[in-house]
Amino acid sequence: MNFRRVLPLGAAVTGLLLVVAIASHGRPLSGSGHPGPTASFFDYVYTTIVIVAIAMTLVTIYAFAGMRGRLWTDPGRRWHLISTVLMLAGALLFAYLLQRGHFLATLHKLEQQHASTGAQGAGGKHLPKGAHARGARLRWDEIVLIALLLGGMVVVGLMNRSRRRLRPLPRLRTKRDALARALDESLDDLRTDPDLRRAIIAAYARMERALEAAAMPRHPAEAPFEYVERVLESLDASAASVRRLTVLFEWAKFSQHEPEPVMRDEAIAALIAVRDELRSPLQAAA
Amino acid sequence: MIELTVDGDAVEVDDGATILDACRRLQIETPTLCYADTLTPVNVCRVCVVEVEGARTLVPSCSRKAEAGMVVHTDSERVRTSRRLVLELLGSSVDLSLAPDALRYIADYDAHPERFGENAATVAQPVKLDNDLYVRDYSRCILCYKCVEACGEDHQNTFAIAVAGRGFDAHISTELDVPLPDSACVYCGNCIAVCPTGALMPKSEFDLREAGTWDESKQTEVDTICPYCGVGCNLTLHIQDANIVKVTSPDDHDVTRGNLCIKGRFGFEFVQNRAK
Repeated sequence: MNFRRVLPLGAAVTGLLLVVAIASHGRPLSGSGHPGPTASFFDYVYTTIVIVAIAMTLVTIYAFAGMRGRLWTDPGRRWHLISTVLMLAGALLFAYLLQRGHFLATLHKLEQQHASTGAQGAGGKHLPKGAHARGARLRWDEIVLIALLLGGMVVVGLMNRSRRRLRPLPRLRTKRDALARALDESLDDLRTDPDLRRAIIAAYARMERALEAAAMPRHPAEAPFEYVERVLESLDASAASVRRLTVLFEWAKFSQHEPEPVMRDEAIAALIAVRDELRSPLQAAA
Repeated sequence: MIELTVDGDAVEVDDGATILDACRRLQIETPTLCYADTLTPVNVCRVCVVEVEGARTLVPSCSRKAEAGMVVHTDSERVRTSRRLVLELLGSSVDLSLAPDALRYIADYDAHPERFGENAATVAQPVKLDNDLYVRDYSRCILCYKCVEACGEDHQNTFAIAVAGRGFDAHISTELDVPLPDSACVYCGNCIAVCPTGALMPKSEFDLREAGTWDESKQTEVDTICPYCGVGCNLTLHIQDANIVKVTSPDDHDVTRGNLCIKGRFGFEFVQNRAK
């Protein structure tokens, strides 16, 4: 898995674990002396709902801005938007009920009545009623934590972006070098793999992966030849050899004809030519 | 009604119509192999693909519904390249000599199947002669799924055949690859009616072709009503040298939609029994 994807995912999971740890105060939900979760647990639930509702509001506004005129001409989009707005309204209503509707207070009263009944039956002390009778409150520690996480992600993203904008020449060199190295490995595959069809497909696939690593991925809708034509424009390399390799890939991948032994030589020759063409500007620059 | 533009011409089609319907309304010939008016499109042959402005990929015109304001190109370089490649791959690995439409498309699109050479490792196998009613020659099969659809949900609901294997190993097979007489096949022959390449063929036609006496130019067609039951299926008798050589049914018939049962399609030999 790509490290750049793992890092924010790990940070998000760690953050969530931290929120849960703070919410539970290091004790299980039902281990606080009376049955059921603590009042602070419901505070965190309420805060999470508020944060999600705000996020959904922002997404809805963004979607509105993106769709503009297409919104009312496309029934599918219209329905998606209406359903999103309805879900948002439902979440806000739920949050409002939690805070203002004394839903939690009622719940706690019922729990305390149940606990005091049990204590009296066992000869225990009578618990004061309504000790926790309050609505849910916003937990600012959670909000600060999530704000810090989001801020950190934005900073990392901006740093990556600014890094990409700098030093265009070394990036081009990296692109060419990555492809040339990948072609070296593909040559080894072609020479050693007894299954020629598999070797040719592997060679082409490795070239695609190298180009993807160099920020020139194949678009999902692109056919091999369309992709190669676009990449060649970007790389300024001669097209004949790359096209030949793509023809061989087309043959190996889609044709029911077995590749002939001479194709192995052709594929190797094409790859060597591509590699040399890609390396020559580097040598000239050195 | 939906209005869209195909190759620069505006056209109106009914709600639910496909791009192919719009093309046909404008008399733009669009090649099709796996499509049939009486079958559910399965989108496997990809020779009917067209370019829709705003779409990432080429779309199969036989199944893609027309939308208001859609702008379609049926003859762009991208479309022609894609169709040409499909025809070359098919033509290089399958015997299309009994598929006149496919041969015409190959010529129209300047496809060169020969560039892939000979000796394709295809699904070709000896002609299967395991019953008296029809033969299966899978060296002609383009895996268009039409026979599977006709045998299954679209027409007969017998499900005697399906596509087995994947990739280069894909082939039409009975359940567990048993011989046809041991399968669920009821010999309705509706698979033969939809086969576009002659891979499935009545035994009577196969015998005449083997003998070199099959000649469509000498054949006449006579429409009649099937005498076996009260359904009233239309039959088209193909007659050569005063003999019935094949029976089909018109696709546009309200009752049969091109389908028949074993008696209607194969039970004609008694007519030619001169001894009775």
